[in-house]
Amino acid sequence: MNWAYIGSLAAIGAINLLMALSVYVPLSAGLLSVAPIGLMALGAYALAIAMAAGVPTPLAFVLALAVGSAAGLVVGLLTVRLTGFSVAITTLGIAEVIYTVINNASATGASAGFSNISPISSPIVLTACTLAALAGVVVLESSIFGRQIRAVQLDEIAARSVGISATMIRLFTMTASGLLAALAGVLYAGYLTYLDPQEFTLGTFNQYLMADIVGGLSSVVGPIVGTLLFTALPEATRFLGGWRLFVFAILVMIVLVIRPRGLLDFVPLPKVRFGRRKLGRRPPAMESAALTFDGVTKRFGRVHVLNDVSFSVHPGTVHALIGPNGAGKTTLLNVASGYVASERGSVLLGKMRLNRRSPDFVARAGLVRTFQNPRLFPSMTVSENVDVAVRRYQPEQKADEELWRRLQLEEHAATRASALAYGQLRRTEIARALRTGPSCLLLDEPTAGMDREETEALRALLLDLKAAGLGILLVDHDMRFVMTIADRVTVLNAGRVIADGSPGEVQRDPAVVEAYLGEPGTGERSTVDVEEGKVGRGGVGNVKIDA
Amino acid sequence: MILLAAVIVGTIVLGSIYALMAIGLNLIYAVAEVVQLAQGDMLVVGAYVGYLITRFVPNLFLAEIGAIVGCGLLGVVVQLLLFRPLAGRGHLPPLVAGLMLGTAIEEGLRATFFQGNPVRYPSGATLSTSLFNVAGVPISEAQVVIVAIVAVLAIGLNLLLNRTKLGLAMRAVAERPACARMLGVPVATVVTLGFGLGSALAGAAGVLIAVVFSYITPFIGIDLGFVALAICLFGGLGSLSGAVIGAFILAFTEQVTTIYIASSYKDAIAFTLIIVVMVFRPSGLMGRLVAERP
Repeated sequence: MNWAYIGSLAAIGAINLLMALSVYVPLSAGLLSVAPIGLMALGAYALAIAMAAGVPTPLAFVLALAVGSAAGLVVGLLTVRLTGFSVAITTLGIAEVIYTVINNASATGASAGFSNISPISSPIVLTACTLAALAGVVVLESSIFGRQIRAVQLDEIAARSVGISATMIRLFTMTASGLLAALAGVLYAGYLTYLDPQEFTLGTFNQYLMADIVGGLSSVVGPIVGTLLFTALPEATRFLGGWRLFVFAILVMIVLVIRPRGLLDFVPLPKVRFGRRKLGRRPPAMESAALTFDGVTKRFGRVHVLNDVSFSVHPGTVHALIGPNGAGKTTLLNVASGYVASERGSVLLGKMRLNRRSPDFVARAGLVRTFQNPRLFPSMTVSENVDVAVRRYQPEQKADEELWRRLQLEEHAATRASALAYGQLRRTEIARALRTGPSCLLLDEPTAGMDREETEALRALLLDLKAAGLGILLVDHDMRFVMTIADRVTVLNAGRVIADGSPGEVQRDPAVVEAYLGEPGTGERSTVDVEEGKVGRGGVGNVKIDA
Repeated sequence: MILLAAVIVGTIVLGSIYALMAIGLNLIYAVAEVVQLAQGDMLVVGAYVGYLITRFVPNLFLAEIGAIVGCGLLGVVVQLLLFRPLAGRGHLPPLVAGLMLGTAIEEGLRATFFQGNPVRYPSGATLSTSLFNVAGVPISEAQVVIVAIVAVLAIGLNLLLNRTKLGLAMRAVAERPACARMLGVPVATVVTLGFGLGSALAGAAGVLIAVVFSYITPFIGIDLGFVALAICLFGGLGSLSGAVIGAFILAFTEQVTTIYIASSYKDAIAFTLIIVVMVFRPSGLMGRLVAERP
């Protein structure tokens, strides 16, 4: 046994693991960031330069970590508005800028590199730092915050709809990534005692990324196993000679194609271990507040999608919003919930202005929505989906078995959302919305895809929620359902409110009949699709409009 | 004045090569909805295919045709085996695939060709770079031939996209894939061919870059890939005319920087441009990327 050799392998493995984690943490929020390779360089050079300038070792160590974290935060701030591939491309640019600087600046020794760094990475320091970092990532992942990070990865819009601040999560993961990368850089500098800028290029980054992809992104076990594999493999594959990285890259591509979730696909999502897991919801309407639209106007191009829309949804009422296709109903919900900014007018919940607020802020304020096309996190179970909506665990909270029974979800609690039928998806989404403890609920076509029995169960639930003081704004095309449950109905047509009143008043309103059934007297029905055989005479009670 | 003329000539030469590269990348994005991060490495494959051919037959035109065919085929294979299975799995897998493909190409070329040491085309297959005057403007044979080759390719591409059924199908798939499918366009095949065409353009640019640089290594692709990406972001991803405009603007900026400031800063332009465009105009300068709405 050559212990010195095994020791060096372990040291390289520890640094590889830190880098794999640094790439993994943003990936778990759905962000491919190439910045870690540059931030590793920042950490390494910050330590080297500080120590060369006579800064005491512990201080230089902390300083380097601070530089890496701060740079990570800056990367986060620069990319926080970006989606998809834009994050990867921007961070690629950032990493290349850092490389160009260290490869050319005199302070970093330019392309000759930086040598004579004090060897501070003793085996004890290496082990302690790596274990501490690993413990940090494990704790993060099995906390409710870890669940929320994953929710942002799976569907940012849905995550925001239940009050998760995707912005904060992105900034956090990028900062944590910077800290991990800087730690790797510091240990690397203190272990090798010299730095070569060529080690901080895209090619090196790809090797760290390989470990994450092959191990899989289901949980932190993926990067660990991947790193073990890629630290040991070079030794076992010496016979490949100069073809080693070529073969590895090909293997990673094969894994990517045939096992998209990595080799450790079978490892389940980490369980939340902090706080007791309880199903149920906070009582709705902690403080009841009216939702008020005042002169809301929105144009897409020259078309007024919403034109001076004003009405109020009072606590303890079911308020229906109806209108033909293209009337602006969903746009109004999008304005209220923060996904679309209105040009004029205001949205108030109680006395709080919600205009130009982020969707997650609106949700945390107590206005929570569901979507026309249900947006659940497909790889999470029903109960995980619902629990994502909780901001912190409250051990004293009573499980609300009643809600689960009402929504007929109890036998599906452990089913993955991807395996649910349409009506079950909708019910899970409603349960998730209620789990946030809203004071006002926006339901976008809740009965679409539900059978008669499910619709009746929903009716009973909504009536109970109403009795508990919740305000409910309901957009739906099932007129029988709407007219029998609503306390008040607002009718939109071409972006304008054309009627507002009780179901009876609205059904008799000539303007409404005209909007739904075309010009009076002509019998033209160009704006509606009337369900076969159910056309009522002189009212809209039986008219069903296609979604 | 001579200097300015040199800048303009240099811009036209470099810009036309950049345009080939960027149009290829944009074509792939438009048809396959993939940002091909290994486009710069694909270009290097073209340069090495040209190198192999000129070793046996020292003819630059043959090298150019060989690189176009070789990279086109490689693009088709890569799309079929790698990118097609990844379609519909979100934006991350194709990005990772591009990075891995880049590593595979660089490392494969390095292991095959002299440990990655620079290689040069044999003298019979290069063009003279000695300058002669045309109405007071210094021009070399290499510059004239490169611009001529690019012009021919551009006309060919234009005819392909606008005058053939395949071109029509590609444009239809780029704009409304679902609609194209309903109208009977074999979308999967068109995507594969579009990917191959985009890769072929990179290969075409590769041989020309080898002439301009006078040497190649497996690692020149990374920076050139950045250049292509920066051009596409600047001109709007998916926009072919935007790519042409962006290519000449970037080439001009690089020429001016090299001549009037310092050549070591030249490489920084592309990725600085990337960061600035992404951070301040996430949708691209003439972009058509739109934010997702529920």
